[in-house]
Amino acid sequence: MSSHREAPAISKDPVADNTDTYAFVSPDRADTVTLIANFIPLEAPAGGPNFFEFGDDVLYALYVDNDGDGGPDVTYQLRFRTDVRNPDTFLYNTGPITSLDSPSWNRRQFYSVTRVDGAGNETILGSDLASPPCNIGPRSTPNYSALAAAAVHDLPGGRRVFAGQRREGFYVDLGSIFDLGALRPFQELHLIPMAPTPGVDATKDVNVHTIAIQVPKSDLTRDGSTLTDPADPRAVVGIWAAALRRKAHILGGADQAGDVESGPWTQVSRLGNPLFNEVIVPMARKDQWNALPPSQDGQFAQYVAQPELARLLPVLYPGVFPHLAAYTKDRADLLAILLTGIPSGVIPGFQNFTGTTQADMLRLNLAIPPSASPNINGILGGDLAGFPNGRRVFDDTVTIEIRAVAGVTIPLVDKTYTPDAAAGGVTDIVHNGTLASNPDLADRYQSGFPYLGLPKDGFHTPSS
Amino acid sequence: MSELTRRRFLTATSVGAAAVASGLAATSNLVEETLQAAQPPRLAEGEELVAHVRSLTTGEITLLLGTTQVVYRDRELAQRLAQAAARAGR
Repeated sequence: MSSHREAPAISKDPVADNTDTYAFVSPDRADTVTLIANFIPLEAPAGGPNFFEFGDDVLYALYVDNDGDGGPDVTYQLRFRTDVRNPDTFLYNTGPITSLDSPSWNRRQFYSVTRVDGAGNETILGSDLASPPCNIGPRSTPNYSALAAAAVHDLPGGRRVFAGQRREGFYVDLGSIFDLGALRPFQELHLIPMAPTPGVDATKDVNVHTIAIQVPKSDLTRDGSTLTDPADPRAVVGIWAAALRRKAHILGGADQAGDVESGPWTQVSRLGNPLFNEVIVPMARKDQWNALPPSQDGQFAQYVAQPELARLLPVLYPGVFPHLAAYTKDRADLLAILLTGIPSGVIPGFQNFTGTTQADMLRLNLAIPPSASPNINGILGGDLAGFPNGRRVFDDTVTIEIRAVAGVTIPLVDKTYTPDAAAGGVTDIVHNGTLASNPDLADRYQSGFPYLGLPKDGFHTPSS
Repeated sequence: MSELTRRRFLTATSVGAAAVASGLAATSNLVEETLQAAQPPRLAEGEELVAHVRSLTTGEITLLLGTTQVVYRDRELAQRLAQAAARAGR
């Protein structure tokens, strides 16, 4: 998956597991950027009585690099605290939750938002901000959309924030891909063939916990300007998210107040480009990668230059990728897309180059306006406002990255290469290009902040 | 941690700060403190000091206080802590 359970250590620490990171120019407020980081993978909506929540002992961070060094120049930090109203019941709620201060809601979370600049100066943007409850069902959360809307908080400076449960926006045929790289629509061509079938959207009925913050573009740029020329290097920012825990945690045992946490915040999860740690970094180095900043990613460039998946595709699909199998050069296309950004002159009217420092970050050109008719295949679909120019919630990053690894982007940097005929068509789930033409995706998202749809409720999901 | 002193560390440990003997990895940007006698230290309300003895040979002790971390070297102290731990383990 994008980065759900992608490394051995973090797979055992769900509340700190950064599953997806998104960054895009807000389609309904084009003078702002929306940054989203999701946590807690594969939430089953019915997962009570202790429903999902953020970690009080985790520092959640969204980072922005505006000078190309792979280090943070702007950081938004969120810290949570949990308030239990009635310690004498096992119930999450003792009646319908009709508002964020409903007396029948027993276990509430509140959070603070702090902006940290490149010099380390901290500004508290908000505190005691309420998260919404999880979406339990028609008796407990009868008007969930109102609860969620009330949990969108305005912050100073034209910013706004939301932190709480949403529907998973990342779609993938999980069961097929991890069964020896099978792509159901093409599995008759697999090394272990089976009759082709439509792909299965394995995440359509799960939720995540979302942190979304919308800020003016000027909050992110190096000189505080709002840039309009896509060719201007200052228009490109790098974005990633992370979760951090204190260095030491000593359990207090039965003395619940005796837990000790101490020492510096230590990064345990990180995510820039989807699937980077998941399918690029080898197993033995995934935990290390999660603990490092993007500025250290040069040591992982070898895995981008010679990606394991590009070697696997011709083996798993014999005879389907002969050109890819014969291509032995370093993948300059993937090195650019994932580690430095795409320089000017490669794609007409576009660049998101941040310099020579190799760093895994989403790279967003703030001067590219939102698309009126977004294509879920992003730049591969001719839509310069989509991945890998940042990442929108609906971008089909699995398909985009499979096709890129399969060779469709090699001609961007190597005109002598002709992609295999199959490379431009491989996908895990067949979708049409525009978001509007994919009704199965429509209810996963909403047109306004925080853009991910309302979470599935536990009463109706699963439905049988 | 610039005001951390040997006396402060000993006082803190004597009032119940946890000494952890294993499990934490060092980071590359640690600084070594030269500790000198100073004013008697105090821990803030709710604050605890965690000491991680990394090596009896070098006397390296990682001290965690609040969100700071510092490496302190004192073979004698490290060995005294190890002896105390060994006695407690009997």
